[in-house]
Amino acid sequence: MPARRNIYDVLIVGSGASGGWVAKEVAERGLSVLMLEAGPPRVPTRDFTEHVWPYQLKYRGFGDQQRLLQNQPVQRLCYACDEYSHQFFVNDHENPYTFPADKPFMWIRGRQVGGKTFCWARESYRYSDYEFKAASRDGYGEDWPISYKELEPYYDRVESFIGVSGSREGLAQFPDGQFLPPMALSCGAVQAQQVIGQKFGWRVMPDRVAVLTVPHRGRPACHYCDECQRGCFTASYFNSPSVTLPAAARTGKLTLVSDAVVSHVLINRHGQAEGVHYIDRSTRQDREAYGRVVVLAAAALESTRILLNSRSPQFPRGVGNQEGVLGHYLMDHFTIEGGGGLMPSLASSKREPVGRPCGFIIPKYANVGTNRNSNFLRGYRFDGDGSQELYGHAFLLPEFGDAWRQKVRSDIPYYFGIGAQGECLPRKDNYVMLDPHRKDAWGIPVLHIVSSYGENEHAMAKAMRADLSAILDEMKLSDINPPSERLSVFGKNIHECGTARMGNDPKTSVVDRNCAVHGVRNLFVSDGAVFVTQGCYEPTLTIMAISARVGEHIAEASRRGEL
Amino acid sequence: MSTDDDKPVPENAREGLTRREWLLRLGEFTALAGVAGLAPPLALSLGLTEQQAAALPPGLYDPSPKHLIHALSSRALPAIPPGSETDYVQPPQGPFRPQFFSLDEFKVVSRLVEILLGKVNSGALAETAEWVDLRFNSAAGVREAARRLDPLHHALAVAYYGEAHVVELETSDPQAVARAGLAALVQRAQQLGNPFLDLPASQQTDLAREMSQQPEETPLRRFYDLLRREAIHGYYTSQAGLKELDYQGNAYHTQCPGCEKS
Repeated sequence: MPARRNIYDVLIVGSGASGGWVAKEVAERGLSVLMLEAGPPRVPTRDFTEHVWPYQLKYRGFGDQQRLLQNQPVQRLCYACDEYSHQFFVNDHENPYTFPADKPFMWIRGRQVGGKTFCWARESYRYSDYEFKAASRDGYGEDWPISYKELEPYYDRVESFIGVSGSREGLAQFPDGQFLPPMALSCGAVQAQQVIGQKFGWRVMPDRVAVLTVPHRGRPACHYCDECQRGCFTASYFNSPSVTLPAAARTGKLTLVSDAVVSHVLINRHGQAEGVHYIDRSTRQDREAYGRVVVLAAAALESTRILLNSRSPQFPRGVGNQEGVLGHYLMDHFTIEGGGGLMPSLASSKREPVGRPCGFIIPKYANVGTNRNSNFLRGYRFDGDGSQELYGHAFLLPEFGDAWRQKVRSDIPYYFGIGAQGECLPRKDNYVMLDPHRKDAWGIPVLHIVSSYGENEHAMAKAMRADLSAILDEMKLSDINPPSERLSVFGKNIHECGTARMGNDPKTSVVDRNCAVHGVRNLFVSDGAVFVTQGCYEPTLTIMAISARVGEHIAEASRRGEL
Repeated sequence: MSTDDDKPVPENAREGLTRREWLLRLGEFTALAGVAGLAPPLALSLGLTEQQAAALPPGLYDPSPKHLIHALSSRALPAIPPGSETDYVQPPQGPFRPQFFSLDEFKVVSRLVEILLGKVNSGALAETAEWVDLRFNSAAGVREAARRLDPLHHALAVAYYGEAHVVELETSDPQAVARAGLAALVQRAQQLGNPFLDLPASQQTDLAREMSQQPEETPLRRFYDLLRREAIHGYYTSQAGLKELDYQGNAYHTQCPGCEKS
């Protein structure tokens, strides 16, 4: 007799920022949840390195470059994938992907309970109708089917629960939220605030970050060691394993299975989802799990990969791909980096405390209100910070010996850096598809990713460079490094979004306004895959707000018997 | 060099403290670190979570007092947790043996590092020289791994860093630079009448300065530049080097560090 199927109310694929919020919302409303995570559980006392000193590591924090090149040739390009934190990033040989050689894509991935939330940059900004209704404003692309007004209560809910520090500014294009007190600014940022505000009228403010400046809901305030990407014993920044997932687990409704690599969604003969097929990461055994509702929250490109690989007689090109839209409209912010210089007035012989896990941001001003730039659509924002050199100046100071060391110690330069991040337009020719020739370590077809920046991004980059140069001049810096001539590599900013976008029209979108796949009412996508546009701001807070909304919708629809 | 900060945390402090024991210890640790006013807010918030501390599935965690112990005892070498993927420094298993340099070469390198750094404590000096040996020893493997990147990863590296950086990684040969530099140094010392290590200290220093003033592509200058770069990295990432810089990070701050001039 076959074993009886254990059918959960909700089966969630992925345990990061998105999955954690869906799980919390549905479990707290009494639904049983099975969460499948492709990677292993992390053990803080084993895997966190937050207070480790460079001299306690074999390679002093510079990393075993040979091993990084061999095992993580893609991941090593991420600033956080270093000797302290490489364990939070995938092995690129087990998890390959392909791209045309002339269109490189940098795919940074974290597979573990918590996903990338261990090492995200924590910047948390609300989108506004400048993003949700951008098409209505400038005529390009599609609007989101939801508005800021509809998402606002979920932003409130997420911020109130996870804790986001920030200042209230009253800018329409940069909505305020439920903030904890803001972080302090560095001296360099204070000068920038005065100079940039006076000369250009642009607002300089502390980053809004999911880091606690005061104790919050049982979690202590940040202790400002400034190494968040190495893990956080105090859970003072948001990561799902210490914030949303414990809340879900304490309901008694959550079953968490790690090391479960999902390959595809199981579709029944009625064309509805009934579960997923997965492979045990360690034993390579095939398994199935079942849910009345299936939610893909595996990160944008992984969720889309699962959909593309869910082929059946009803969905020969993958579920949700009836109109050939699935996989298309990939976006990732581009950045212009490298601008900066020394601030002679802040050179000092005295060391300042360091450890503030945020810098400053200047919100978007181009194409805002009555400002219209005829050279490009949408806009960009700046971010940066100032800080004392630790020992970088030692290389430049001539000579050697005691006198030289004394100078290294007492002549401390102060460096100011600033960069720009711009919106990437959603274009159909930026897309992902299954590579017909390549599989990962678990036999699952990998993604082939085709991406490039277009005319609008290049026109915007020109304006970004001009503004950055004007700022550097106005700041009266010395030893100026000009902003880079090159746009960042596609994917580098780890804000990949789109590929299963939201919309009311099944011919131009993959999921509906509640994030259910068109035509499969019990299959949802809750992560960045559903984004229609992404503005110039980090997507994670919006991913969490959407996920909370998806969770609430599933719970309510289940209660009404609609799922 | 030993300071109060070096004092290791008692082994039994790492595991199995009750909340009350931990709060008592907290007083000791705050005194040890000279951090006042730390205990009340933390005790309050951590106390709340500890009461809630029901068993969570593997991979989930609550805020833990262990962080404090780590933060305040972090100058001690950590006990390496089983299964860790982190390359912690291993306790020495006997006298150091260089991996790249011969014993004689290593003595010369150590003396050059001493000249470059000036008067630093002997432990930091030895540590820096050992770091130099590690970097030169691992260079060939890094170059080889860079050369063996598959075409897509190579294309991505070029797009990310630029062609020049990637070519440098694939072709730079610090080991050859070191061998050529050491050979040139032997020759130059012979011209002065003695092996380098037998020259008077002032003459050794003059020779190091001479190395620094050679044209950029000469063996002595290239070796000097690499050696100086690694000596700087090695020393200023050592405990003594960071203390000398008065580095104020990786610490427990009760307030968000910001501009005091504003």
